[in-house]
Amino acid sequence: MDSFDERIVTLVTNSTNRRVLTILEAKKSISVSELADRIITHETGLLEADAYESELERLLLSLHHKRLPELDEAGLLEYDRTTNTVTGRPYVRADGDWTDPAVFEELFDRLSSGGQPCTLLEGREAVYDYTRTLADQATSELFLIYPSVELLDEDCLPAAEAAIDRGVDFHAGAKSTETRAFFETNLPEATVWEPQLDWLYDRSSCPTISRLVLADRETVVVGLWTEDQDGSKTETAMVGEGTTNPLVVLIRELLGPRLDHLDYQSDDFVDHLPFEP
Amino acid sequence: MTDSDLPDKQPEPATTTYTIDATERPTEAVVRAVAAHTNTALLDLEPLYDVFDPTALDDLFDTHASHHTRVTFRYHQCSVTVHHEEVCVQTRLEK
Repeated sequence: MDSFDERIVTLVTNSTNRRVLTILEAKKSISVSELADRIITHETGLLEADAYESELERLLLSLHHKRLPELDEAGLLEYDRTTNTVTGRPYVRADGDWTDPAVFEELFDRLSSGGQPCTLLEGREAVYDYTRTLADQATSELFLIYPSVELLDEDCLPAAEAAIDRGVDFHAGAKSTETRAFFETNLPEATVWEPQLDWLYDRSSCPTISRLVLADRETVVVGLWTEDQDGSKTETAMVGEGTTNPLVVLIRELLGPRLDHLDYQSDDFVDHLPFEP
Repeated sequence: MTDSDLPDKQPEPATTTYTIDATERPTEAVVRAVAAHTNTALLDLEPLYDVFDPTALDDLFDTHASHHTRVTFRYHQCSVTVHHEEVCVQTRLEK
């Protein structure tokens, strides 16, 4: 990872760095001590006095001596080393609106400029064929999120069944009851769950994420719906391959602990499980 | 005889030896050692990042940790030497 853009992606995938940028969105200028206090309060809640002091010292050290100068150098904020004051950059958004096609393309260009380029798939058929190949090649885990019901196709079931038979852990996340029912009925051995990911379900109508597939935690496909003027939808997907690919790193970080234990599930969902929760 | 009789002789530079705790990163130890040696608050020291990349130092001791590894650099008017288990800080005598 040598390029400047990749460095920014790496910096932003760190949760403490993201917290710093989020705090700066709400408050334009802040002392490093107040910043550290807010991060501790957010990450650990209330601490005993001794534990708080030790945590504060550790965090001030890492903020002043590493994180803030590094984020400053990357242009993500300004850090005055003498007054120990951090100032946000107004045009930086910690939480980019990446379902905007223009942003999506820009992100794609940025991610493609590094040593491990991402590829772009145009059209639903191409995306379908690619994800099908992924299912055929997965060796240990397939992690899928289908925000809508329209992409479900019984033709893709044999590939999923074959993967499960090979011992691949199959996790399917779907917001709609209908989609979950489809997986539960057709793939009884799959883990079916209801994702609680705000960034995935954008409040605006279109474009939206069409699907997200992560195979063996090293190949990711992120599909996006774009709607033409006549109302027809086109699917475009970005593919990242390799554990150090920036897109793979980003998606793994966004999914976070959900890869190892699924989100908090609603009571309604838990009630429908066939066993006692 | 007192020092004032020998104006050309410099006093011996003070040295602080700081033991790196098991839970401590080498760069954290460097900052704490220099802060203690010079009686300076952590935030009043020049950021270590502006001198060199702290990650590089931590990685060096993570991946090539041997008892012979020894890194010396200049920071905050001090000569700092990082060993496997300790940090030595010595005031630099400016001529």
